[in-house]
Amino acid sequence: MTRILAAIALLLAAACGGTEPTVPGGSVPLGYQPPAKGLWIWYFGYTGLTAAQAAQAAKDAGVGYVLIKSGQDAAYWNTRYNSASVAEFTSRGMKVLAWAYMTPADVPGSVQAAALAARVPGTSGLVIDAEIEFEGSHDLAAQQLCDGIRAAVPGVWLGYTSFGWVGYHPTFPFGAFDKHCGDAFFPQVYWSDRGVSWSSGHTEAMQMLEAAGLKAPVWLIQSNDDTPQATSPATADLNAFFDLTPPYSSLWEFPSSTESAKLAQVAQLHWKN
Amino acid sequence: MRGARLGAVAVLFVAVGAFLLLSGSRTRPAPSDVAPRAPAAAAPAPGRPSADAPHPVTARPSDGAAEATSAPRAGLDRAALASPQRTVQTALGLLEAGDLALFRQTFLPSVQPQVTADAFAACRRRVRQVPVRPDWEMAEEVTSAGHRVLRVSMFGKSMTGFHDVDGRWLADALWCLPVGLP
Repeated sequence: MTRILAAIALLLAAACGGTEPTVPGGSVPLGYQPPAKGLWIWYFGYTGLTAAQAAQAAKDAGVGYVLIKSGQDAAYWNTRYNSASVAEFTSRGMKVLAWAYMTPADVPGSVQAAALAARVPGTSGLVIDAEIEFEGSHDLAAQQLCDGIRAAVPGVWLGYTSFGWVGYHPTFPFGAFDKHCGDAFFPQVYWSDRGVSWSSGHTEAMQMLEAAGLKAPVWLIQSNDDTPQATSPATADLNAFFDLTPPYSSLWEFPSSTESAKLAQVAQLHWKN
Repeated sequence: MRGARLGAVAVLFVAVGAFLLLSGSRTRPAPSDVAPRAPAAAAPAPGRPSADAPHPVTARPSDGAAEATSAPRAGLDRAALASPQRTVQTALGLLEAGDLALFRQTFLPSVQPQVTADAFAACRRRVRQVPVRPDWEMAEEVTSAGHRVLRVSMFGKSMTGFHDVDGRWLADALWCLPVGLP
């Protein structure tokens, strides 16, 4: 009887998103709350650091989880996103999510590439970055992409990221991604890029999210890109956004090696929840 | 660091000025300008500037740069478009110099009508906001309409194709416009 109950419990856990030790790519537990906020990484060469150096810098800053680019469409980048690079972060106590930029151009290929990334040991989940190429009539492609990944990697924790102000993108298939890739939605609320204050950007984004009626848990992203006037976002403003949006929010992105001031700023942000 | 960047910007200004003078006086490309470099061979290592041109990051336009000019003039020197990397460097230099007419020539003819004065101004703002460090390492080379195309992610997201049209690598999208804002 006990064995039967245990088996049922395991099946239920898998159906709800998986458990850390048993499901590849599904190790974000149901109801998981990061101890600290997240940081997006494009590629290590961009940062000028090795994976180990970037991981140590992130740890020293207090980052709780990182999102590392694993590929583009049907290309999975095993030279960049692999067990060794992931382990540099997990061994320092951070969770790692893979992210891949995807378009409707090759859904079957993208599914396979995503599955490869999701199966990399140490990966806690996968985030699909879908943007302008999905605007228009691409609801079916979005559904096929998400469902295909879930079929290829049962139990995978699968989220998506896209435009931060959803109301300005009426033809983007938010509904399809929400329903089929909706373990989390990471809206790109890049208020500095847009040239608005963090508070007005946040307020408008939240109003639009509420109006859209999306169901996925919201993991907001802000950016440390400069404003259109070429001024860097103030540390206080980035921190104000973080302070208002725990525990899931994150920062785009780990700065370029050419921007030493921004790397120093990363260390001053309020990562801890 | 700041001094080095200012120095690099000054060098770039001089280089762009000399380049524009040369391109205005030439009617035919020199033989050495004609042969394109293979993309893979031309690709600089990630995070490193190429040896023959300033790093794109140093080419952020300053606030006081000249207004865009669009008067007809001689075409771009072939050498300025001899590889995708050179095309990007040339485009950044022309954004810096405020030269809309020549900047437009870094794009495929089909895209050039999109390179309006407004788009040019938006591009100038955008390259001041974010470092321009395309991911050449993961660029994909394909063939389209009989010519080589190198597809590269300019800012980590959408890909831009650079098409080898008779030795000139031209962009197939207005890569420097911000996407999705708001």
